[in-house]
This record gives sequence, structure tokens and C-alpha cells, in this order.
Amino acid sequence: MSTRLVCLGLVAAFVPGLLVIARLSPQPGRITDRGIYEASSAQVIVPDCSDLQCFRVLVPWTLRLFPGPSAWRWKAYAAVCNSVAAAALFPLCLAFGLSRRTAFIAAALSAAGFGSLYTLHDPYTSDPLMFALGPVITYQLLMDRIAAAGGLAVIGVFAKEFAAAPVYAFAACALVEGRWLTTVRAIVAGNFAFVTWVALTASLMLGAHYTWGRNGVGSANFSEGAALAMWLREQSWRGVASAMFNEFGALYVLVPAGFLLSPSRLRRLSLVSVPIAAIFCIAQQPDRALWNFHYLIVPFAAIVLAAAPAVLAWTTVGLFAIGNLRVAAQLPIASVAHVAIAGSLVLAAASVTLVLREHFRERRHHSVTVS
Amino acid sequence: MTRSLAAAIAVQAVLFAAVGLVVLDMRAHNRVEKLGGVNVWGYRGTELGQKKDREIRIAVFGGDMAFGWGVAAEETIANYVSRLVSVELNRAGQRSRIVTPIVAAARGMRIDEYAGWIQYFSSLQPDIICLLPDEPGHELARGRFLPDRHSLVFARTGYSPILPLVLREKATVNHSALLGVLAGLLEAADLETAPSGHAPAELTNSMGPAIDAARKAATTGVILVLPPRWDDRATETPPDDSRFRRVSLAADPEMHRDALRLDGYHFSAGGHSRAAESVAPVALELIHAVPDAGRMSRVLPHASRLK
Repeated sequence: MSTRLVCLGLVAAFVPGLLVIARLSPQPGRITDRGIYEASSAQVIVPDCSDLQCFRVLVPWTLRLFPGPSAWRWKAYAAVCNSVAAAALFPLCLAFGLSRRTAFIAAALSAAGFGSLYTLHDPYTSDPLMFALGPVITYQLLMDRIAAAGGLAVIGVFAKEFAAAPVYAFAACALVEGRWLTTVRAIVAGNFAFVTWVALTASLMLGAHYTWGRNGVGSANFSEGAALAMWLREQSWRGVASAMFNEFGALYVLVPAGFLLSPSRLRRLSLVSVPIAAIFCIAQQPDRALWNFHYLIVPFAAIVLAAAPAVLAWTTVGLFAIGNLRVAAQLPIASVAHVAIAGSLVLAAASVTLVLREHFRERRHHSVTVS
Repeated sequence: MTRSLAAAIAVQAVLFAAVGLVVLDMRAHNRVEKLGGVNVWGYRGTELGQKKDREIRIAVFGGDMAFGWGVAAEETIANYVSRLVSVELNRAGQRSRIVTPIVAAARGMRIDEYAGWIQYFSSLQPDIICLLPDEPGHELARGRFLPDRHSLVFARTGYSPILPLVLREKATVNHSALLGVLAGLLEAADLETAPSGHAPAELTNSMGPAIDAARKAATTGVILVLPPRWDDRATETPPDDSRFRRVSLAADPEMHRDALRLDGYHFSAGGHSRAAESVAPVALELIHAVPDAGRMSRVLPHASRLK
């Protein structure tokens, strides 16, 4: 079956499931950005808007073209974009030289991950589109379609500035690899996206008297710790630890081992993305910012699970998903989720043990054979 | 390197230069608009948003004296009048009103230019317009950036560049030749549609067109504020109009004190404050005379072009 067909199949499989979860997920019990996005959707330009979200126009302006109640349009958008994000990991993993089994597991982990399910609970955000654009743009870059990747990034910055990040990460990776021409081309592509974002921001500030508001100014104020400092001030240490754990859960156990076993290109791209991720962690809440890089983190976990026995791998994925149904999608299944999270951690640890033992045994065997 | 990549880099360099200049200029405005400068649209203080319900806007038009050279935007007559009016209107037990000052005067502006300038800023929907002309014999300020109303950019877009002025001042303070060259380059690039207003100060007492323009633009009333050294016997007054008032600052003996002037001409913060004490009661009188003052007035185009 061709990669394209598999992707379509994955999207078709994920969308109904995510829609059901979105339907079951309760309304957020706190103030969200819903009002701002709805105003932006209804009025297109919200005069004097003083919130960072007002600058993220692509999603609300697009969704206004669709009929139906606002909540359903936004939930459907989140379900579709998260499905695309997950399905896009399939060709991306193959492009990194990983197996089809790894690619399937990566897609499933992404679809059931924290970022995906959290945006089904609170879909009024540009994040699902960013989750989809990350792997799609990176795949285009790996296929040497830099102009196409740049075009997507230029469109993407109308939704959120993150869209330029995968292009710059790839440019840094190409630089490390000594591919100078590719580096220059990728930087040029990223710069077009960046300058588009700056021009959009300046235009909205001048034309519609938009300002960044407290959250935007705070995010840009790096000298005082930006959004990270604001977040840490407003959260207890327990809250911070809980949010950071929920972000990746069992993936924390799997990723280090996967990093050890991963192809060098994936490793390089991930390492050069660390400073970019760090910037986003400071400029945004880290628990929200890090899932933007799911397309680089999840494949490491998938590498380990793909090398583990199938039953173990898919049970881990299943428990990981059930845990996220509670901590991300906020479904009222606390007791089940606690067991699932604990189970996913134990099974992830078992997978790591099995896979690493096998890996080191093979290496020992290989070195003995060579000597 | 391929030809298309080279072309892309060239296009990008132009884009970065253009967008970068705009961003730097906006940043410069942001830093000086509350001090001695103007905001991106050419008036002092932060840019105003859409007019709110029950908001009263008090605008002051004029030249050098009304602009308030040497004092911050918050220390000009417009702000002091607004504060005094706000205190009076928001006494306990009354429905609160927002009173917003607009310092729409311009450095070096001649009296015959007032009418066009008032019409231009009518989109700010002032309720009360105070006209404070410069005193006879005053030589109008030289320089073109406060605001840059004769620039091609301003004529086309309404955006008043200020970066050349900020760079020029930084170059002077830091004795930096490089900043001076940059300022010169930007000044040269900022093409002028008409020579800047440093013509000899030909002050006339003919305020008629300005008063007419102000009456059209203001929804509540117009106050002609005559500076202390003004011969108000020669000033024309419009025919009987309940929406027009005249305040002569010369009537207040305190206003003749040199201590209220910074350089023998421009008012200090104390001078603006003292002048406001004469104007505020008249503004309140106009507001009370018009029951729905501060109503959401008609929607005007964002910026009518300067005639």
C-alpha cells in the first residue's frame, strides 16, 4: 500500500475517534481564549483587541466559512488537524529511515498524546494546526521540497509564529551536516515566514490598533523570564511537576532509550531543535509549547515500542491513551486513568529493559565477532 | 548558488529592510510618544482606540504652544483639562464617564493650516475642541517630525515617521557620526510633499476657518483659548452659537508670570495646568449644556486625507 494511501487511511481512522473524544470532553471550567477566537471569527477584525491570540487569525478566519455551532466547528477542526498531525508522522518516520511498524506506533502515540487530546478539550487555539504543520513541513524539507515547506510556513505564521520553527530547525541540522546550499535555502524559506509574521503583526497593530496584551507582552519580555516566569509564579511546584509529567507521561521513559537506538539524522534534528524548543518554553507555557515538537519526540518512543513484542507495545500505547483521556481530554475516568498511567509507565519501563538488553547483547555479539 | 536563490535573497533583503524600518519606527514612536514625540498617527500620547460609550474626548488643536514643547504628553493643557473635567463628572453618585484628552496640535503649524488639520483628525470623534493658537510674534518651530505631516508616507498612509528624528537626537547626544549618517539617509528617503512649516510666523487673528472646521468636527462644542499675549479685541467670533465659547487666558493675572514659561514662550507643566483651570469650567458648561455629550457619535472614516 502506498504511503499516501496509508496516511489517508490513518486520517480516516483517527478522525472519528478523536471526534467522539471531543464530544465527550467536558467544557473547560476556566477562562479560555474562546471569546477572543469567536470574536475574531465573527468580526474578522476586532478593533482595539489587546490579546496575543488576536494576531493568530488563520484558524478563526477559516472556520468562519463553515456552517454550524462554534463549539462543533472548533472541535472538528481540532480532531481533523490532530489526525493529520498523527498521520503525517507515518511518512516522516519512513523518511528518517524507520520501519513501517515504528511509523504506525508513532502515529498512534501522537493521536493519543497529551497535546492532541488536550486541544480536543479546549479547541480554541491554533495549536492543532501547528501540531499538523510541524511534521508536514519537516517531511517536505527532508524530501528537499524547501519551497513547498517555506510556502506552508508562510501560511502557517498567520495562525501562529511556531510555523517557522521547523524550517529553522532543519536549516540548523543541514548546517551541522555541512550541506551549505541546503542551509541557505532553508534559512531563506524560514526568513520569508518570519518576515511575513512580522509584517502581519505590524499591519494589525497599525491598521486595527491591536496590542499584545498582558500575555503577549509578558511572553516577549525575556529579561523577566517571559511566559515561563509568569507560569511558574502562578503555579505551585506540584502543579508544575504534574503539568510537565502529564505532557509526555510514559514517553519520558521511552524517549531516552529511543534516542540511543535512533538514526543519526533524527537525533541531529532533535538536538538542534532543543534551543528552539527552549525559546518556545520560555515564551509560552512549557507544558503547551513542548507538544509542538511531538513530531521529533514521539518517534524516539516509537522506536523502542516497535522493537518490543507487539502485545507489550500496543498495550503500552493503549494505556498511554487511556491516561491521556483523563489528564488531557478531562474525561471523568480518574480511577481508571490512574491505573492506566501507572500501567503505561511500568510497561514502558519493561519495553525499555527488553529492548536495551537485546540491543547491548547484539552489540556485544557484534564486537566479539569483529574481534 | 542558483539564480532563483539569489533573487529570493535579494527580495528578502528588501523585505527585511522595509519591514525592519517600520518596526523600528513603531518602536521609536512607542518610546517617545508619551514624552516629547508623537504617536504613529501624528498626535501626542498613545493611539486612541474606538470611542467607547459615555466617553468624552477633549481635543486641543493649535501650533507650538498647544503642542506643549518641553513637557510630556501628560503635562499638556489637554490632559489637565480632561483630568479636571473627569474629576467633576465622576463625583460620587454619578454614572462614571471616561474623559480622554487628545493633543492634536502640531509643531510649526500656521493658523491657516488649522482647519485642514482639524478636518483630518475629525475621525478621532472629539466632543470638545479647544483651539489654542500661537501668540503673535512667535516664530514657528523649525523641523518636520512632530508630526511629519508633509512627508509622502504620511500623505499616502497617515503614518508619521519619527525614526530619523530619534536617530538625529541620539547622534547628537552620543556624538555618533554613524547615527548621524543614518538619520540623514532616512531623512532623505522620507520624501516631502511640501516644504516643512518653518516659514516666517505669519500669525493673523483670522481664526474663522479653524473655528468653522472645529464646529463641524466637535459634537459638543468648541472653545477658543486665547493665549495671554493675544489681542482678543481683533479676534473674530462666530455669530451667536451656544456651542462656542471663548476663554482669554490674559484674564488670569497668573498667566502673565514668566515662571509659567519654559523658554519665555512655551508653557511649563505649571503653565499648562494653570491654563487648564480657566478652560475646564467652560468645557464642563458645554458638556452640561448638551445632555448626551459623549454619545457614540457618527462613524467617520478612519483618517480623512489632509486637505
